[in-house]
Amino acid sequence: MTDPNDSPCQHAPGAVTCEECTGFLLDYVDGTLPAEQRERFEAHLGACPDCEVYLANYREATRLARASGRSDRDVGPPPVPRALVDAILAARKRQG
Amino acid sequence: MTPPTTTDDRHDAAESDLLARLRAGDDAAFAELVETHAGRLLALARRIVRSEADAEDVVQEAFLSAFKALSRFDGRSSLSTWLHRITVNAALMRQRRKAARPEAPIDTLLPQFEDGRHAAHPIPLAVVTDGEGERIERQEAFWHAMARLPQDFRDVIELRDIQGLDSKSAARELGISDALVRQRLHRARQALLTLLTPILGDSR
Ligand SMILES: [Zn+2]
Repeated sequence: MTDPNDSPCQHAPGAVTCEECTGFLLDYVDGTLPAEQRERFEAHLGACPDCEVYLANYREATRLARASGRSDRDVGPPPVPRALVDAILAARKRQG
Repeated sequence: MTPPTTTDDRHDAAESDLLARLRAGDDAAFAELVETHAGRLLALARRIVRSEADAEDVVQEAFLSAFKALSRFDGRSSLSTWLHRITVNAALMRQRRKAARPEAPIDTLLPQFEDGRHAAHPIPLAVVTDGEGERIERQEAFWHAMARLPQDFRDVIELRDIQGLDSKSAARELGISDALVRQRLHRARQALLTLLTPILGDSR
């Protein structure tokens, strides 16, 4: 799952930049970030309000997308105007 | 309840039967396809384009492009997943045309860094309340943002976040690798954020 570019960096242990942190987000929210990287990510998060906000926003964007799909899965399909069905089928005949 | 595998198998069999009849040009099969899916697709289109007339046009356009593309539908995903994606694309194309909002190149929508730090402080998105008005406002903001994403990036949000497929199924549907789905999804979510911030950012 891990991007080869994200190999553990050699400098100061735990020193993750905001940019690297952002690169970890998808794996982090999916729970697939390896433990070692997760610890460094979380250490940075605790000390960086920017990344904390960014993570919350990233989750929110995902939640919004999910919510926009839920309305049609949960509430069954509404009735379709018969005229629309007929128009579509008639247009198919013209399409040939 | 029957176990999911049995339901799936029966569903698959019914679907390949329907597909075979569609490909043979069976009128009744087309009627069945439209009657089965039009309601859900109309509800979907209504949320994106907001006007009833536009929503109906979108559904009609979507079905007509699906009919034309039937020979290319390879059954990697279900007909329902496939039609959903065609409808979202048709609706967003119409919305984009109306609002004269072109797609933006993905690179311009990703966060910027300076020396590894955020170049600008991210603005928190407003906290959700339960009001119906707010819910609609957020949905509108979401679809506006979606309309500006390049198609490749929109597709992964559509399949993974909206339709709830896993990366592997989304990869199969799009004919790309699992890793590319994840890479695009990550960039697409960041781009969505950039587009949502001016509308939903807390400092508005
Ligand atoms: Zn940071």
